[in-house]
Amino acid sequence: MNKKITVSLSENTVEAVRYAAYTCTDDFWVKIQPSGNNAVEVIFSPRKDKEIDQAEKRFTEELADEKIREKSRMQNIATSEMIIRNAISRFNPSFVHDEQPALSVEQEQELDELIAEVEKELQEEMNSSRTDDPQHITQTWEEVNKNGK
Amino acid sequence: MENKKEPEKYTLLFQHWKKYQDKILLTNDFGGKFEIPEEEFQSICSKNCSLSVTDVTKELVDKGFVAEMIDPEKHSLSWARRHFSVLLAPELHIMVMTSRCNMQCVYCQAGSPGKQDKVLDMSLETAKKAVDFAFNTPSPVLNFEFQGGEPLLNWEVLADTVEYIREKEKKSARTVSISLISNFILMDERKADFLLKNEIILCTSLDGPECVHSKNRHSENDISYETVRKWLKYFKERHDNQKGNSYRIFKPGAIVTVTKNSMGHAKKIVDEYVSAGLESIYLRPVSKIGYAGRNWNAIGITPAEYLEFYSEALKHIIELNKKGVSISEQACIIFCSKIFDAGSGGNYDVDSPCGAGTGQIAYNYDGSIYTCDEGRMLAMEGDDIFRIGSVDDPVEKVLTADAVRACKCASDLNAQAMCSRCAYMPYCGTCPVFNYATQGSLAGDMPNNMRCAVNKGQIDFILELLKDKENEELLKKWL
Amino acid sequence: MALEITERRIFFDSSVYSTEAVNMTAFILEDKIDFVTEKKENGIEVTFKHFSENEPEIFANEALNQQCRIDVSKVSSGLTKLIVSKALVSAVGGGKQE
Repeated sequence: MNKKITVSLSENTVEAVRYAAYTCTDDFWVKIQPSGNNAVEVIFSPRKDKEIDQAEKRFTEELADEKIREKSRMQNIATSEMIIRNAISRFNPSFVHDEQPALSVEQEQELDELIAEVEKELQEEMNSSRTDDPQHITQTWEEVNKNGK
Repeated sequence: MENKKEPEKYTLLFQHWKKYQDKILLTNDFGGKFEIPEEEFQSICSKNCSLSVTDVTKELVDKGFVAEMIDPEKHSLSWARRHFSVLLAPELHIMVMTSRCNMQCVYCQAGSPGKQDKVLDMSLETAKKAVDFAFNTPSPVLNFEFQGGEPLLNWEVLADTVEYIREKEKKSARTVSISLISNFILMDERKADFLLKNEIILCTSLDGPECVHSKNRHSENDISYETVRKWLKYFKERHDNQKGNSYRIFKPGAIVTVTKNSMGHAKKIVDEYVSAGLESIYLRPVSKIGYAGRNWNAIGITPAEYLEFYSEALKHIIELNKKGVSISEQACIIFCSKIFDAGSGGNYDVDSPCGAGTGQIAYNYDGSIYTCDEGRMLAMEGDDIFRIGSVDDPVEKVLTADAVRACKCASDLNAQAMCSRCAYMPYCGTCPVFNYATQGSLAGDMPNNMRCAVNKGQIDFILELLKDKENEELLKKWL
Repeated sequence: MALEITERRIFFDSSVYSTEAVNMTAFILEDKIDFVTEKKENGIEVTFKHFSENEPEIFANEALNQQCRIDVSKVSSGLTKLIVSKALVSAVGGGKQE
């Protein structure tokens, strides 16, 4: 069972018709042939038990979308080219590898020790500052009341 | 101060779009993603994409959707970050130490012919030539990946090659990493010690709990599962207790190949990784290449089946994360890197153009060089179309070989009819080897391409997940 | 019959399918399908020797695939050339920062 759709080439480009038909080739066998009067016939046949009526809906929707794309395509391509040219002339391999160099084993251990030292100092500072805190400013309400002060 | 003249008109610039529920999702290749109500989109399109001044929001401008206000510096940086492999020389050098294997996996693309034929081993001379070749390529970063077959079957050459690499590394200004992909069946303490002392990153295959793993990966006496679990535990403990070492021990990793045998076990497979102490899982569907293609009736899955599996697995992973379990999914990371404009995700398969021959190259046991590991696997099936030279050839001749050029052209998504229009083009990539093996041409046929269907479905699912702010924060932390 | 193919042949009109597209299709499918191509005045006729298993339909879909690739390359070939050239130059160390 086939579905034939006639498409005018005065309203659509042949490229748009081809692409819209192509997107349906997952579910349909598709062939396009000229049909006189500046038009083409797109013939669909179902594959994989698909409903043939879906072909027209899908094709028509895609054709409408393709018309929108065609309006902005050249500007999109020009912008992309400008950006990509800039990217490939501006950036080079050092940009990709411009990150913190990996630490050696010794450096990593040194860093771990340094972090542990700082943590220890901070902890000591917190403890000693508690002793020097007659107004209990650094203690929470619960801590103060728990201690009966 | 330069007086910038306001543009006289504003135009909505969109390269790719799709209907997404009741909205239109716009994307571009400079890191931009924007949703707009369908009615508004149709209205703008009916006016030749022109925007009124009030339509021009900071978000639209920043994301590169206003033609008159493109920031070339910012947007070209974004493009470069997501296509960085275009700027690099090959970093990944895959060394196939042997084509022999001591297992018979149901999907083995390597077509491993069994343990006996030592002619299928890479000689030390060839291995050194391959290493020399790699060091003659210009990249400041070299990642050597030993695989096979089963590379431990060629242990002596492997060990000598590792030492050779480390010697060369000392005399060069390169950053070198070495990884080993092994089934661990031949692993012992002596080998483990050597590998760890040489800072080798270890990776294996763990396809899930025993009932799944053993169905996919057949070994003599069925010891594969317990062996993998044993050595993953061993290497993890060595990693966790490495303080005081003069060398770094990296966390071991594992990958999953999802087949028909995996169906219905998505959560169990994730839980298996968690119980093995692994913090990352890389879910991949079986590819219909080589031996897997011949065995497809027994192991093959459709894109729909894989996507159902994947969504169940990823949902479970996210729930585990919310409960404080640390486990991420690699394919999701790759896509999210691009969606959040955080880079390319680092996977040569999902890149435009792909990394064949320029991001990675594969050295076969006989010294032949291929565009990638998949190209090499195809050669094992009798088709060496992706062979680009040998370790005796000059670097420039190999890296500019016809097959490399052809792969680049075929995998540039701007040159693909459907991909160049697809809203997910900025996040996606195609594999010329897969296309050739399954569809007969390097560019493939996207409406009927399994990888296209899988990638689209995964991205659909991830974008849906990202609508939840909590999920978005969680996934960003994975990057 | 599918696609209105009543004989073991299919005609690709040159106003819709370029010679290049049909030839590429023939190249891709020559190992899988037994056929003969013949250039006619307004296009190419493909005759299938076995007319089974949707061979003409497979050929037609692939021809459309190839034609659409040719169509897109007319618009984007500049972009592809830029990117591919850069990738190849980078691979051999061109564009290194001194």
